[in-house]
Amino acid sequence: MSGWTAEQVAALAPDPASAKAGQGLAAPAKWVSAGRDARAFWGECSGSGAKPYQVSVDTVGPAFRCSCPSRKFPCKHGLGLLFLHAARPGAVAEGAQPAWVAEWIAGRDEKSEKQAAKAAAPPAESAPDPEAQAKRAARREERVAAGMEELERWLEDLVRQGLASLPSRPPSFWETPAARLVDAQAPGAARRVRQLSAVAHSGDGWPERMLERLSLLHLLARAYARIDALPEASREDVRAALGFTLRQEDAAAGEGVRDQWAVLGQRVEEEDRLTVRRTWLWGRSTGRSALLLAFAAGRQPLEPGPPPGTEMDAELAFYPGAAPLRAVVRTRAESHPLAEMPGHGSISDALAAYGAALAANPWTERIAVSLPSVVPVDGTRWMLRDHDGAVIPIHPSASAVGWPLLALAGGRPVGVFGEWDGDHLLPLSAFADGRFHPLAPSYAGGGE
Amino acid sequence: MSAAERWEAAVRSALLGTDREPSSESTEIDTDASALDRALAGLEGRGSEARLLGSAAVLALYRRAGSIPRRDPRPLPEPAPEESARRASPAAARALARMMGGEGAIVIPEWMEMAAAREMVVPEELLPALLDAASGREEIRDAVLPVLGARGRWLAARNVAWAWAVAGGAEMDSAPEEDARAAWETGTADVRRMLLRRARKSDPALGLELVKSTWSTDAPKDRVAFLAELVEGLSDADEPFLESALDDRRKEVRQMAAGVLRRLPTSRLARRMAERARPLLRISLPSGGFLSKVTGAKPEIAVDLPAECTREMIRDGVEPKPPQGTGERAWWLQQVIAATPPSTWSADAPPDAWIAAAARSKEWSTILLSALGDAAERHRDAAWTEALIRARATSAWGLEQTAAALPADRYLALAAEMLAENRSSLSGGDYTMRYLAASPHPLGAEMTRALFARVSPSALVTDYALREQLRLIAPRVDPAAALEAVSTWEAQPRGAWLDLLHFRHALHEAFAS
Repeated sequence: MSGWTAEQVAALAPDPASAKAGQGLAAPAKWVSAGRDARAFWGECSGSGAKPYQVSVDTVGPAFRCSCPSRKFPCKHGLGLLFLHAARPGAVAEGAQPAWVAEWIAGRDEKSEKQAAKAAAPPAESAPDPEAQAKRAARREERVAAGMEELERWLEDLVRQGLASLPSRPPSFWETPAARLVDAQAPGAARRVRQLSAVAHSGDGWPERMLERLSLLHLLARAYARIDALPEASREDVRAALGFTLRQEDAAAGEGVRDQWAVLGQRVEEEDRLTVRRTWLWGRSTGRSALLLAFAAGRQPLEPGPPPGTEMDAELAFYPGAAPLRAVVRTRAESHPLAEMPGHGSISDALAAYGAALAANPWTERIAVSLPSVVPVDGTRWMLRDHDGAVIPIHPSASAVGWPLLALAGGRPVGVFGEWDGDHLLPLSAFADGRFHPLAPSYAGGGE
Repeated sequence: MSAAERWEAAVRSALLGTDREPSSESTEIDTDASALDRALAGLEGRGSEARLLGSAAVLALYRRAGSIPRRDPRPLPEPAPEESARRASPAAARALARMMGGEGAIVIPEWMEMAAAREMVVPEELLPALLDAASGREEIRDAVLPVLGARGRWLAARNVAWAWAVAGGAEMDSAPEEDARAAWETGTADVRRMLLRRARKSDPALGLELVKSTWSTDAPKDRVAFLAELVEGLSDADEPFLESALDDRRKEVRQMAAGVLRRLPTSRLARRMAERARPLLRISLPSGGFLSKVTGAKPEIAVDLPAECTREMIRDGVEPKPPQGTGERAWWLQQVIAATPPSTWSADAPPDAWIAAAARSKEWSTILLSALGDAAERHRDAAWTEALIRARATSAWGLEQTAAALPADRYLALAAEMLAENRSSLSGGDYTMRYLAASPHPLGAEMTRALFARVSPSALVTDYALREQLRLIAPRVDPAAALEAVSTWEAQPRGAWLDLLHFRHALHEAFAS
């Protein structure tokens, strides 16, 4: 594996301080020994203690291990080793894995084999106490059903009285029904209700947007009431939209798709004291997109994942649904840098893909849009324009990427990847002159 | 009704509420009804609220799923010209990105210089951040202009906030004069200042003409700013205009004109000041000439304070009211001496004699040395500046300005002398350290080695001022030579200065690759 660029290493850091500390360790003087082979990086870093810290990095994962006392993950030593290699490829010489590295890698391979076998095998032993579990599940269904009925009444009350007064309602007007939906164990519905408050205050055109959202909630409640009559894929979409989660093992047993998956973009967000990382993948042959989600509570670090700007030969397992999007990585081989950007042929194609996704799953909130050849255009707002003259607007909250995009393009077509919500594109990455540029803020500390 | 009309009707209905306007959808289906009609008809038989919400869902999804993109009929703007210069390497780009993020920001001008020297340009994705930074901080604009490249100038032309970059760019040199005049007439104050700065570098006469062309209608604030730009390329040709500006209605304009004239030793103002100053100082050299050290007698200075602050003095920029704690006449003395070309005194005695005499005067040393230092700096008098430095007679805070008055080779020669004086370990308060910390020039490998040979690692641990001086010197030393010297020390030191050295070393390597 030729290694990651410094930007990609920075994207693996749990916070900016770690990235900076890692960069500070990118000097050969700090490393007593360092080596690599096709699978892993390893080294011994001199620290404040007597013995140097032993660091290893498995490029499959990626995964990190270090003997330092830091609780951060990955720690600055792991990052420093990769930064060192990115800055001076000769500094980390190729060689044979020392015993302490080989053991760790072997252990990881064994564990992942076991997990894959468990997922592939039929569910031989059910989870402990299936009776209690079944009772809990049934109770949840009851609660959700009751919650949906209450939601229906509430929605009908709204349209009976009229939407005109909604912008003047206090926050509790939206918070109370949302809280009740949380009690009803339907957190997905609760989130959508909570978002209505912002829609009421979104200015011009808010009644249209409000009615649309309310009607989709109505559809969701109705769909749950009739859920058994729906096809299975749609059943899964309804449950996902309401907030029923699938266990990792069940997800990993889903539809498997093997392809060269390009990692085209990534976004990290804080949502209710939860950190969420969205990583978007695009299959070169299948043309399918996939979304990897990673979560961390509060200030816990996120598990490292495949860095944007790389491509990997992997098998993804998709969560069930009528327009499957969310996936987990079942098996993967090494990644290499992205040479060319896959994507939609035109903006029309991208919008058509959105239409198709909505037709299959009406509660789709956003899809991946990859446009390998568009020109950024400035005006009252930033837009992207393709060779047919079609334009799509960039999300106002991302207007800060307009100038860097314009600078990269210089008035010529470049590749842009982002999330499309039906109204705006949120750009996450650009591809210009054969180079990949993350646009969402990363930890490299530059450019925005 | 079309789908769009049905949707609008639904929104209206929802806004008012079904209580007030029960939706009166009549949906008869005929044989060739569309899928949409059929879907909507399927909602028949429910309460009006449910029907409204249901049809809204169908219509909203129908419209979204079928949306096609808008088209922009305008022609695309002219793309950027091909970049002829090389783009700085990815390693150099990362270093710049880190500096824009705040780390080692003091090294940004060095990055610009190294790139400009290799005729390289800033990577495109960093251009907006760099242009923004330079829009806010004028002092880095000059460094930024040469490394913008064709892409940078194209980009700057598209943002009003960056118009200064177009005005200040090198193409203005080859552009016809009418363009410069036209830009001068219509530009904002910011743009005009950059234009003037550019013009003064390549064609000072044109610059002066531009200033004169709008002088009578320009705001006082702008007049002050334009006068300040005349310092660049200052010559006798500018003197008549500046002399006339001494009579401007506004005080700040008069003061700026006087300030600029003080830097022109051949100006009438300088001559008037010299005439006033001559009677105020008298040096008495020991008999037998200064060069005779046998008697050990030293030169003495006699000071005659000015009797009054005349109107002519005020016109020439002398401020009549003294600051707190200074006597009136002493204050006038200081200003007059500070505005007098030091060559005035050289006729009676060489600079070192004057400086030695001034230093020995218990009453007047502070005022005289400060005034002579100002005069030497303003008139760019290298001989006097050097003499002041040798005599360690510069004020502590004035060292940077004073050092700037010396040509590079003289500055460095003096530095080498100071370092070679002895072998003792340097401390933070030493004049030598302060002199080096004020250096406007790179110090070179040999001098770096000489400096570090006199820095003791144990002194660094305890002497905070020494670490501070090293931090100020760190941007100027040769990083490879410095790190080599440090690597031979037994105990490895730590500190901001060392981090800065590593950073610069990495930067030099990035540019070498």
